[in-house]
Amino acid sequence: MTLDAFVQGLLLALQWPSFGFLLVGVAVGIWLGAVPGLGGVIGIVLILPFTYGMDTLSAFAILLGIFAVTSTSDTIASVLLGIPGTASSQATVLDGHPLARRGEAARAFGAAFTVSAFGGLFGAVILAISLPIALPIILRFNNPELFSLALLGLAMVGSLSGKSVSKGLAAACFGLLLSTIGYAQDAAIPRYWMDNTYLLDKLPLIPVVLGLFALPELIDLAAKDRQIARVADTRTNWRQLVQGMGDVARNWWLAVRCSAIGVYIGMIPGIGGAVVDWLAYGHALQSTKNPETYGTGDIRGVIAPEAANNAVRGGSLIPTVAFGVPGSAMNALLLGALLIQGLQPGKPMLTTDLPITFAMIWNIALANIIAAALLMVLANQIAKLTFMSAHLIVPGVILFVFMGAWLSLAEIGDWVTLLLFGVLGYLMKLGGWPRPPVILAFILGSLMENSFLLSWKIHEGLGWIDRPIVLVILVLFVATIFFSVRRNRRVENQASDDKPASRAANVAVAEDPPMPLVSMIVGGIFLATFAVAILPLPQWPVLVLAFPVLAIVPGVALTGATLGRELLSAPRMTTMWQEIASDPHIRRGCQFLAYCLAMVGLALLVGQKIALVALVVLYLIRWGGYGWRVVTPYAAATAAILIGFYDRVVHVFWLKPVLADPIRAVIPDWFPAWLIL
Amino acid sequence: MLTRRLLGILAAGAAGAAIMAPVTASAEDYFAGKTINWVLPWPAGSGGDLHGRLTARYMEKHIPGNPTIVVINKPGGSGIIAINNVYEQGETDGTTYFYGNWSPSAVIDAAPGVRYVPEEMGVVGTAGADLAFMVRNDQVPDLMALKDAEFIVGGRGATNAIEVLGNLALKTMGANFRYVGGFGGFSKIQAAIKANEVHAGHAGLPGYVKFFGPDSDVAHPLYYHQQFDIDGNPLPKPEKAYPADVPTLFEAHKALHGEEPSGPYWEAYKWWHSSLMSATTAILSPPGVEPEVLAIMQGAFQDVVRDAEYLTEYEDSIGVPPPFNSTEQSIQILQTFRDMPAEVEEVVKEVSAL
Repeated sequence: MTLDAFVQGLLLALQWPSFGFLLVGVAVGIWLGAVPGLGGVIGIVLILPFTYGMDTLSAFAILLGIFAVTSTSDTIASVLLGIPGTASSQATVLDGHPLARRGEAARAFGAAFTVSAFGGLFGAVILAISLPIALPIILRFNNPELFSLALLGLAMVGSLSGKSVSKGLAAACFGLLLSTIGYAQDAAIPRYWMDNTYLLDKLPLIPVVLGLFALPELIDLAAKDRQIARVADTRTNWRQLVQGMGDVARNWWLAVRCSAIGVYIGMIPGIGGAVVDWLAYGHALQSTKNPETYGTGDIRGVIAPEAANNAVRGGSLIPTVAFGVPGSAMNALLLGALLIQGLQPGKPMLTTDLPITFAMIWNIALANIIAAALLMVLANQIAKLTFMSAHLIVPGVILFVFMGAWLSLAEIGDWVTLLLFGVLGYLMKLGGWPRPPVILAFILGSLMENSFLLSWKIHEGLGWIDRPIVLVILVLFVATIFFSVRRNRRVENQASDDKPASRAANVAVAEDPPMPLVSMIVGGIFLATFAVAILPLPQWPVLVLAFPVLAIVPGVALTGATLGRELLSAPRMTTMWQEIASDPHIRRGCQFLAYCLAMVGLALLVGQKIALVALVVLYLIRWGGYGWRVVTPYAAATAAILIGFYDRVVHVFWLKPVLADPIRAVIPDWFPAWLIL
Repeated sequence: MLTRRLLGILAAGAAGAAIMAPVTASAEDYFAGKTINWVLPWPAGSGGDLHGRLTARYMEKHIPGNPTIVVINKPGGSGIIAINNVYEQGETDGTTYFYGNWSPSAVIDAAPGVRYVPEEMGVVGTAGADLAFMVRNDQVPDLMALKDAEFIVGGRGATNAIEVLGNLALKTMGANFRYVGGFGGFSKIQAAIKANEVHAGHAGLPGYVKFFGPDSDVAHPLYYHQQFDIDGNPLPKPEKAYPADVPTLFEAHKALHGEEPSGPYWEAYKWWHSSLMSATTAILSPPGVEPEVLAIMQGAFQDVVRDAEYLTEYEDSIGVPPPFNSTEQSIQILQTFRDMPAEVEEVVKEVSAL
């Protein structure tokens, strides 16, 4: 029965014209995934109304084309710029970006695209085999299991994304505290909202992600005035692409395991996409005998998360179609499409309508293969961007970063959040604090608080702690922290005794060494935030203050311990200060931030379209030293994207500038005001 | 406060005049070539976003002059950001509207961040919500079992308007339940019901249809919440909603206790249902829109909700359409929702603290 449906599903997916619509979806999805801050949700929202009149298979082909491949093309920003294109490609940054710096972006792409296709395809096969047990698995994951799994995800990212476990876990506590901003899960009481409606709900994710990851990388590129790759362009990219594919073949067993992780974690609603790349990365790291090269450009650190984050999409379809429980915004949209097409989520989708379910899964697998092939062709050209002057890349990316942030709530708070987290992210980067734990904790915080409080209330205390799955996950949680601490100590000892050759080879392209004073400043910011967060606690009921306390108490202890250790081993204050004061890159980085701030000020006065084009023009002339031959087409392209895409297609709700009325008064009647306001 | 009430009365007068205002030929062309901003308080892709966009598409068709309607998602602040934005910054030429839940209880409580004054805004139309009480078959197999059953009700949060209504109903029935709030919405509640974490929950009609339906072997609707008209008179059961044998709360009470419901819970329930729950979704303009312009929009909305094609598409894509109110009824609800009697307030406070 299942095998028949599996084959029928493949035939349905290959039917014309639905296969043609799949190709359209793939093309749109590649674009949306590649641009930081866009993502598949926007694409599906825009396409959904066009699917109303289509037949079921064509409608799903185009939607699933977009759905599937954003997690393939988001690798481009992760590898090239160190910016996670979506939440599920964060772990790829850890080894993908160092590879790009080493001039091996094409190898990272070769491996990532191959394993993405593999993950999507193999994920579909695993899904077919697992369908009979899918429902019992999903039913067993209730609130206590969700909380434990999120906790394990946090432990993984906190322990694995940096050289110091205490810094990683402190950063995770900081992220958890950020997630408590806005209305509490348990009562209509807003926390830490500072009388600002922007903060009434939780902080929007995209400005925080782009602030923490994108702005620091852009500051770095602009300030250091160099190409992304830190080596000369002497390598043949085609050879690297093939090398990347070979890497996947050599690590096929890792790819298989991580695809399986992706599918099964994807089935758990609400948690899959965010943690799956970390669970896969953590698994790769813990199951290897030589983990010390991870984080410095180890290709296995690209293969593991990329296999999992494509396989997760197939898995996430199961709770959507079987229960009508969408685990993400994209799944919610697909659920809407399902209903529009007259299909009801529920058991029929796993029995009588199983061929359609499999056609959907096949669509995902095929989309992954097509996207991988297309991107493989383009990868050579994309990788060349790493050898291009940063001054040509920065203005284009900054446009998408600011607009990506603005798409969140279309409030000035989006840009304020972006800049604030940009500064924090830059300091964390300089000080050697890992940024991924902040984001993951921020994403998982509400889910953790919600599932913890519900478990507490339903079971009237901690009666849920001895559930078998919870116990297994908690053991894994403890083991993760234990082995991470042991691994870091071993690496530290090795480093002080005898540096391995591979590590020495990576030194030239690794991150700049952390600045102790900046690290202490970040620790100070965390401590101050934790301290201020204590102030309103006495006014709140127990269940409202419980989760902030759970973030603050370990946060203070871990940050305090880290600061204490750094203070003891730090050089003299004047030496540390001189290190910062004499660094021209930091000065230029601050100038870059001042440009961004000025742009926001100008946007408040005359509108975002004028201000963003002005920033691009000014940057190209003042920082890049380019003439009008470069500046004019660049500025025209910027304006065209703002007007043609963001205004006319996405229908962005623009800021109403202070001088809107005087501007309208001076422009002639025949001139459309929307071109500039 | 006095000023706000006065403004409210003036706005009501203006809006009332709008109903009576004849739509002239020039008014019919008013929207031709114009672009209307349709501001939704939900993120793109959410359930609310789906019906907001659907209604916008049909409004385009029915507004004379067929303007372009651009849907703008402004989520955040539990919906407050979007409605504040329309109230404070919306264009007063009739080209900006809020479509979504306007949370009367948050306005009454002067909840943090609420700056809009509903009475001052122009009303285009409103819709209510059909609700039912879902319970696991093994926990409460039939109505009579409610007398002795003990069960856990999973909910969105005790202060949520749907939960207040549902819990007032359970109190009216004298049910023995423990309330666990904090589930984000019915999709999570139903998952917990299916997993036997909780035993029951208050469901909107679309949620019931989507997650359970009449043939569910897990849970069934024990009773549904009958709609009342503006004077508190019960309205007939909506078509295609619940199975024929599902009683109203009123009927369920009579069957279980042998008498009609009465007492403070029942009185509070009736007031809450007819005054607050009958217009949970509203289309509102910023203050200051000309009555003639509002009248065009009001007429178009009434045309939309009578359009068979719209109702079919609504049912196919979202679920059974909600009960839509007449323009007059909508305006009256928006003007009188604050007049909560003291005894109702006391009972509502009690169930909000569950």
